[in-house]
Amino acid sequence: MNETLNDNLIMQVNRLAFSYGWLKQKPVFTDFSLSVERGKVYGLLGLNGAGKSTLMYLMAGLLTPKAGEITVGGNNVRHRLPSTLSNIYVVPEEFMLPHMSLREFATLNGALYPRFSYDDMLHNLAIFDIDPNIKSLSSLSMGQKKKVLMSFAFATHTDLMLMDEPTNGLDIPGKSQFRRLVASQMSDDRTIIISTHQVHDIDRCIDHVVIIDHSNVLLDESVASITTKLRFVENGTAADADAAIYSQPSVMGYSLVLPNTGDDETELNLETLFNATLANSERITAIFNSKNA
Amino acid sequence: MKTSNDIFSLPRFVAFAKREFTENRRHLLLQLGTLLGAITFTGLAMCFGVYTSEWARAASLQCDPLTFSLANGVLERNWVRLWFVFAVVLYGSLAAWNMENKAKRISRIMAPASQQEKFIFGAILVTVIMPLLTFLVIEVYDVIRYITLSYVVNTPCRDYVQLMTIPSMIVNDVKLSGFLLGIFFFNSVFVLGSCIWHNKALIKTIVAVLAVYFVLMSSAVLLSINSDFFISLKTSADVITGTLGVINWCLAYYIFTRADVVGRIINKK
Repeated sequence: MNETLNDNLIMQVNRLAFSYGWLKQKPVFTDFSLSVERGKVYGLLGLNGAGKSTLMYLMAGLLTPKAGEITVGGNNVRHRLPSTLSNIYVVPEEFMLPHMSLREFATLNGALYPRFSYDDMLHNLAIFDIDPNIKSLSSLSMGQKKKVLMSFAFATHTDLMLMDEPTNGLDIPGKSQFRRLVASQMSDDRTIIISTHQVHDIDRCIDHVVIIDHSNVLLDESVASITTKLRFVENGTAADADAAIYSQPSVMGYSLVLPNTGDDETELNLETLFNATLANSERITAIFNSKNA
Repeated sequence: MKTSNDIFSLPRFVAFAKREFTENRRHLLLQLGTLLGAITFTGLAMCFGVYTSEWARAASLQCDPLTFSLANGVLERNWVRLWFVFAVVLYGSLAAWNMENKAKRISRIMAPASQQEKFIFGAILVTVIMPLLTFLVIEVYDVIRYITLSYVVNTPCRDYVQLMTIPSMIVNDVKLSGFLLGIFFFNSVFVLGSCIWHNKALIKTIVAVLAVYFVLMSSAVLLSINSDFFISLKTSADVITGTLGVINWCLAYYIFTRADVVGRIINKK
């Protein structure tokens, strides 16, 4: 049973501790644990400074934890083994593309990823409406660079993809193109972790939500589980708001998060869920714990 | 589990090296171009001085101008040697290149190559490739010098301007083992500096070297260490510089493999 469970996990974060600084340490994580399953798109949410980007860097092995470890496929990511690195792709919020043609970039970098497919990259670029005959990557706009990098990243076919604010800098069509790309590239083996504040850009493409606040995992549930246990109402009244776990005024009245007592499922509203979890985490936790009991 | 393939793979190393060179070729060419410009500017200025004045002096003394020029060419020989050493030593700062900002560090650390391959690439770059390219730059300068002096200075002098004299200039009149050990040591200092400081490594290393030198000299004065001590050190200078160079390289590797995208310089693995 445990073996089956572990086979289904691509990453395990075990009792992680991390702090910035040397003499004057600023703790970010103390005894933080998380399991990441294969074949899912994770939305990693948290307030500014909650540690999302730090967690992404730790997951990629770019930072060294003070205690604990993060394993991908059984290997400690901090060892930075080539076999691990060729199975993880990080799309950072800030990045640079060299002064060269796209073909040259793809040939040079693709050689380091055993499963890279040039044709798949062209397919991904087509989703973004990007002409592949790019002579100089460095002359592209920020949004175009991001589209090119994501097209390349998905074509590497790594099992784990870490994306930090992937929709920042994308134009309006780019955001829906991004969702199409994610949907088209998902497989049973691939896991994508998306850290973002742009919840509306990803709420239709994720199937698992993790909300963190430093060392606390406030919510770690699948979208299916969330919509089974919670109901999201966009046009609630003031009377409904009194009975809700969380309410916030909206143009149509009140956005509400209510316990789902029936069989009907509503569409996930990630923004309201995030606010509800921060405002009333104990009640949200109790609802999901009662399901598990 | 770590396998031998996780430590070193030649095809992967070649792919990584190819990527690093091609992505940074403009930067490298710019650096070498700057070096060529600096050598050519200062070199031609010096050559004009040496050749014209020495020719005139030789003529006035009625001695063979070539013999006279060579005998008085020590200044130029030392100058070429100085440029070579200066460039090769300072290029040590490229050992941990492409780590100067967060975006570059992410790209470099996440590149699917082993830590050993990345370090070896840096080591080959600063001990083989950059010295060879520096040598090539000096040769290009030699051609420029030949062409310029052949057509600009007066006719009799032109006959004594010879091409391909610089390689011998660099190693002539020096104790080769001591010369190479000296380069190895100072190069290793800058290699270590590049692993400690990812940003502005060259300047920070120079400041650190000057600070260490100042502290050592001050300590020697304060502790009233007499000159005999330094004379005794001189006899084993090769051993000391060689050992310190090796220590610097080991420290550089230790720090390099523990570098993170942000934060502390040294981290436990």
